[in-house]
Amino acid sequence: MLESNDLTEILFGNFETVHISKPVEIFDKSVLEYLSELSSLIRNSTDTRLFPDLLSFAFWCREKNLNLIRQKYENEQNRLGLGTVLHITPRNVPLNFAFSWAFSALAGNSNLVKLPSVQFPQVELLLQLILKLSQSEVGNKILETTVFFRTGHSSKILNKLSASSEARMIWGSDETIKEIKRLSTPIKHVDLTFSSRFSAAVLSCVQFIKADLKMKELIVRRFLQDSLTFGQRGCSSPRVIYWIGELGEYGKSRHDFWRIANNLAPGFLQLPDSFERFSNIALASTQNKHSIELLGSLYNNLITVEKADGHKIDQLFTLGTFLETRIDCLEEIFETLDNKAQTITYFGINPDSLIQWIKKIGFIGVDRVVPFGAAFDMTPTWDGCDTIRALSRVIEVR
Amino acid sequence: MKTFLKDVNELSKFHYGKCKDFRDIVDQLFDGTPTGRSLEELPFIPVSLFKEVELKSIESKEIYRELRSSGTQGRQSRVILSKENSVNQTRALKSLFQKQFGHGRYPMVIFESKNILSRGTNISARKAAVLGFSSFASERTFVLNDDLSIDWSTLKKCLDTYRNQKVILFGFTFILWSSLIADNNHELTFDLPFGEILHGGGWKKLESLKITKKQFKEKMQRVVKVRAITDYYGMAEQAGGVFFECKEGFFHTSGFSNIVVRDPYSLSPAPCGKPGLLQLLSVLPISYPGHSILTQDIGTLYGEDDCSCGLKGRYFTVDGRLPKAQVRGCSDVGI
Repeated sequence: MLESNDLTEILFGNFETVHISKPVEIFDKSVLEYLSELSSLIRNSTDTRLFPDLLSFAFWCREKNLNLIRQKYENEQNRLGLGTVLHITPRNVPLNFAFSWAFSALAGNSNLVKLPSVQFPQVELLLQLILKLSQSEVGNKILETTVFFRTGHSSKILNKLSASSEARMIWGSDETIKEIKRLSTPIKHVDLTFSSRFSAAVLSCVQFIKADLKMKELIVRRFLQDSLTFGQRGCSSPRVIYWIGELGEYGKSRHDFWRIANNLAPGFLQLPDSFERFSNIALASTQNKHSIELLGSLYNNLITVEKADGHKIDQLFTLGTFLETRIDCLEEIFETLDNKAQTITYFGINPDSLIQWIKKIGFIGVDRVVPFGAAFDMTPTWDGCDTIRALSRVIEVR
Repeated sequence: MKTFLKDVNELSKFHYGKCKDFRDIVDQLFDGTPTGRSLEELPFIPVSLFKEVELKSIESKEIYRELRSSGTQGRQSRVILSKENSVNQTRALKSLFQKQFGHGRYPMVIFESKNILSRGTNISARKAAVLGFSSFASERTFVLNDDLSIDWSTLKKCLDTYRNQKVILFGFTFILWSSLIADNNHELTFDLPFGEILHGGGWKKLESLKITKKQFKEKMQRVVKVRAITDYYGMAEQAGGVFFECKEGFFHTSGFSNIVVRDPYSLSPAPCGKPGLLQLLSVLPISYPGHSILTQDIGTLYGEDDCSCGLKGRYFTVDGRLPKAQVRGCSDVGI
C-alpha cells in the first residue's frame, strides 16, 4: 500500500493488518480494557507528571469514566463501528489525536491516525507507553487495529487512505478541511469535521462580588486555566467575556477579577510570545474599533479590550488578551456571536437559561455550555456531534 | 547620548502629531506620551506593523519612493519615503561607511547580479543596500550571474586587478557563503592583502546550516585572504542607520541610531548581558514613524561607551531570531 516516495513514518502498527481488521460493537470489551490499562500505565509512570494534558487524557480514559460514558449508550443494541477511520489531527493541541483515536475505537472502528508533524514530548512519551503496552495480550490486539503515522503535507498516502476508509475525523482550519475533503472517498463514507472555532465566557457580576476572596481566586484560576492553556489559541479557549450585571456591579467585579487574574497570570503564560501579542494589540490600536485597556501597563500580563457597542465579535485576540463587554440579558450574547462559537463557559448563571435562549432563537452555533474550568474536558460528544453514534451503524432488526 | 535622546524625542513628538496610526498606538498603549525620559521609556511600534498598515507622516503627494522588505515570511513591509528622508539615509550611510572604511573611494566587488539595479520606483531592501553601499565606490563590479551563481572568470579577473590596492567585497552573508564557499568546486583562492569583506543580511540561513560567525570568517579567509571581514546589521525600516561590527565582534550604535534590549516575556528593558528582543531607534525616519521599532531579532546588550575596541556607543550582538511559537491556532494544522 505504501510507496517509498511518500515519506511516511509509521510510529505504531501497520497498514496491512488494519486493512483486514473488522469492526466490532461499540464499547467492545477489548477496547475498554485496553484504554483503562493505558490509563493506569500513564498514571503510574513518573515521566508523565510533567504533562498535565497527558494526565488528563489518562484521567479521562480510566475505567470508571469509560463506564460512565458507556452507560449513556446502554440502550443501544446491535451497534457496530463503521470500519476503518482515518484521523487528521491538529498540531495546536498535542494530544488531540489520542482523543480522536479513543472516541473512534470506542465506537468499534480500526484507526489510521495521522499525528501532528511537530514532535511534542508528551506525544513521544505516550507513544512509548503505547508501544510498551503492545507487548501484552490486550495491547497486541489494538496493535492490529491501529496505525499511528506522520506524513508530509499533501502526501499521496492520504489519498489512498481516504479512498479505502469508511470515515474520516478531520480536525483543522477551513483550508485544511477543504484540502482533505478534495481527496476522493468511497460513495458510502462519513466525514466528521472539526473546524476552527472560538469560545466565550459569561459570568454574573453579582455572584462574583458575593464570593469571598478564596472563592474569587478559584473562579479566576479556573478561568485562566481555560483561556491561557494553549496560548488562548485553542478552539475552546474563551477569548470573549460577557459580564451580566448593572454598570456599577460591572465596574466593581471586573476591577477585582482582573486584579486577581493579573497576579495569577504568570503561572499560566509561558511562551515567549509577547511580541506577537504586542503586535496584535498595536494593530488593533490603529483600527480604532474597540477601546483597549492595559491592565496597569504594557508590561503587565493581561490585556483587556472593551468591545464597542453594536459590533459583532469580529476580532479575536490570543495570549492573554480578552475582548469584554457588559450585558443586561443573556440574549445579547447571541446577538454578537456566530456559528464559529463553540463553547460558553459560565460562572454564577444557570446554564439552562443559556440553553433556553439557544432553543428559543434557534441559534446556529454554541455546541457546549460548561462551567469555568471545564473548557478543555474532552467528551465523545464534540462540536455538537456524538462521535460514538456518528462513527457507528445500527442494524435494525424486526 | 543626550543629544540622541533629545532628537528622537522631538521626532517622536513630530510623528505623534502627523501620523494617526502612531498617535493611536501611543494614546492607547503608552498613556498618550510620545516621549521618554530615557530611551527605554520611549514608545515603540512592532516591526510587523509595516506589513499591515501604510505608516506615514507625510501627504501622499510627498511620497518619493516606497521601500519594500524582502518579505521572506509572507507579506512585505512597506516603508514610505519622502525625498528628504531618502537623502538623509544616504548621508547617514555615507558618514557611517567612511568612519568604518576611510574617506577615499575604492573599487567594490559586489556579490549580486547586475539585474538587481533594474529600474522601478519601489525597491527591495536588498537593492537598497546594494545601491546605498555601492554609491561610495570608485568602480563597481557585479560578479554573480542572474541565477545567483558566481561568474568565476569575472571574479578572477577583477580580483587580479585589485590585488595590490584597497578593495571592498560586498554581499549578503548567505550569498557570500553559498557562492564563494559552498559552490567553490575548483577550490580557487585569492589573496587580497588590502582587501576587506563587508557582509550583512542576517544569519538565519547560515544558522540553519549550523555555521557560526567564527567558522564563516575562518572559511572565508581561506578562500579570500583579506585584511578584515566586517558584518553589518540593519533593517529596511531604518535604512541608512546601519550598525557595523567592531574589532571585538560587537555591533556599535552611532549618532544616528541606538538600541534597547527587551525581555522577550515581559517586554520590559533587559539588563546588560541578558538576551532579549532588539528595539532599534533611529533619528533618520522623518516621513514615517519608524524611529522606534521593536524587532523580532534576539540580541544582547553588553555595555555602553566602554568596548575594548575603543569605539563609543552601546555595543551588542545579534543572536538570532525569535523562534516561532510551536503552538499555533486551530487554523494551523500540520498536514
